[in-house]
Amino acid sequence: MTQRSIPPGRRDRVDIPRIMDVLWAPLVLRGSSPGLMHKVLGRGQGWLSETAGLPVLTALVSLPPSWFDPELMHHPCAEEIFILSGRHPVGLRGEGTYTYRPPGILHGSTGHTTALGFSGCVAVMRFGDPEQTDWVLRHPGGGVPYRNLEPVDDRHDRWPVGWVEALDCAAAPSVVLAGGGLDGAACRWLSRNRETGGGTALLELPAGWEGAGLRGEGAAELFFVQGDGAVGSRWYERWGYLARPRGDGAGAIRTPGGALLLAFLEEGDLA
Amino acid sequence: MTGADGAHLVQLRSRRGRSIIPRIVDVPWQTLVLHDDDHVPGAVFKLLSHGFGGLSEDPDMPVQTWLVHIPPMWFDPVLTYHPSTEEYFRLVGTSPLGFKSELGGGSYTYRPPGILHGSRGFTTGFATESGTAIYRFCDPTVQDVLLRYEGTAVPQQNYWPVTDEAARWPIDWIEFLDPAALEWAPVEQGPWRGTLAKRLSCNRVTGGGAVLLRLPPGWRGEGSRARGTVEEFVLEGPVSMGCQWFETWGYACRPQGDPAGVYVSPNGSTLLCFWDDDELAG
Repeated sequence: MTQRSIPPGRRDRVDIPRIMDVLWAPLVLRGSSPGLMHKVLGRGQGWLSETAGLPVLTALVSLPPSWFDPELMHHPCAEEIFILSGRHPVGLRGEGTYTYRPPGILHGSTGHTTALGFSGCVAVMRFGDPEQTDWVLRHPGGGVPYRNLEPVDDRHDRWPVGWVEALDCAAAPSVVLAGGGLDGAACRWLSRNRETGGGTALLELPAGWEGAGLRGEGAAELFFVQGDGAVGSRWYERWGYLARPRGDGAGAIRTPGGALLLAFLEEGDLA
Repeated sequence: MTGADGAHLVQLRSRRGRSIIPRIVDVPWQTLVLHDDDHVPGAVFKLLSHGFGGLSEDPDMPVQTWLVHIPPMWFDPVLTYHPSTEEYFRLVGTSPLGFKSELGGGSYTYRPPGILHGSRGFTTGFATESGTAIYRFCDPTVQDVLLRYEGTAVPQQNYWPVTDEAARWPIDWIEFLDPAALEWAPVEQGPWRGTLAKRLSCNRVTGGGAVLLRLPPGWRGEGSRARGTVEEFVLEGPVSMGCQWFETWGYACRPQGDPAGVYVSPNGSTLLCFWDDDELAG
């Protein structure tokens, strides 16, 4: 087997059929500004990092208006952001915008004026677990220009997932999957892992759709952006979430009213 | 002065310190912790000012004004009431404070003490938008603010008074007000002459209350005389108050007898004012 840039990750099995049942809690980013709240969806290790054991987190994150960090930061692993409502402070990106940022990219709010124009947002985020990692890293200066979206090293060049700073998901190409457990679903790839065939996709399941679902080739996470449906024996409401470790396919999916799923796939389950 | 049922109206007086916040981003967000809120965590706030009285019969009750942000799906499944008035003006979003309201940014609520209220269930709570509001309330760090009604004398229903305070309150209970439905009234005399005003609520005893003020471009004047405590929040700015520039969402609280002195609005601005007394009067 070819050596992979990102070693296999691990994800705990999680079922959150009703997001309301998970409480909001402060999200403390050491060394950054206070005010963030989050609902923990899933935890695990690796997948976003070259380090297999790096603790990572998938969370629903709420950023209040005018939140900003006045200093540029970068992170030790990749971060993914899918905006569900509102506008994100970095670049004022709106609902349905997706970001995949490899490790080592300087970024941050670009100043007071931008922060005031920001009315708060809620996003699904995947990132290094800030309780267990030094998530907010600062660049001491020198070597590279100290500015927004400037890489501090060359990791992004060799990262198997392309850097997607702000993708309007509605504008991403849509293909109807043929065959497999998601036959007939419309798929928009938001980012793609060149080595595994996995990545992050929006799956649009029409009303009445039924299928065998994911094969469980790698770890997987599913989030119901819109609509609701059954996965295996459980019913998931809007913003419901499930995570499955490698080898656990979760079961058949059916959605009488249709659903839009955000899928994080470690391997090429949709192939 | 008496209320509709002949009861003497409550006298509302506040004492607050001076608080000058020209730039809201300079005030950090904090996690809002409410006693007995095991099932309703999630809100964050910026403390704008604090003091005593004005929101309850007790002139010594500690009170605060916040910028508060409520994440989506926030709700309390148990009906609650409070020992003080709660008053809020929604700035952003349709669902601050747990309610899925048809009224979004710009709507106003004034609820006297002792009114049962709360989200009515999961469906109501499932709002996908956040909400941000200016919020005046008693200080939750020194008293129980989430009071539960265990009695049987009144129904356990949303918007049901469990005390008689609302009947004796000098300011009417306003559950949802859309200020867009009110006409701007020209202010033709007094220190705010030349501006436009909308009264959101009015204290029948003092003439104070919550007022929206629109300052036309180039307006300059004396402004509030601070007959009583004044709180002024910049909905649209910038505006100069007392020779200090306040940006959008800037805020000033001034105690009685400590007026800003002069207000200047070069490009036009809108203020949300909470006044103990009638600062529009000549």
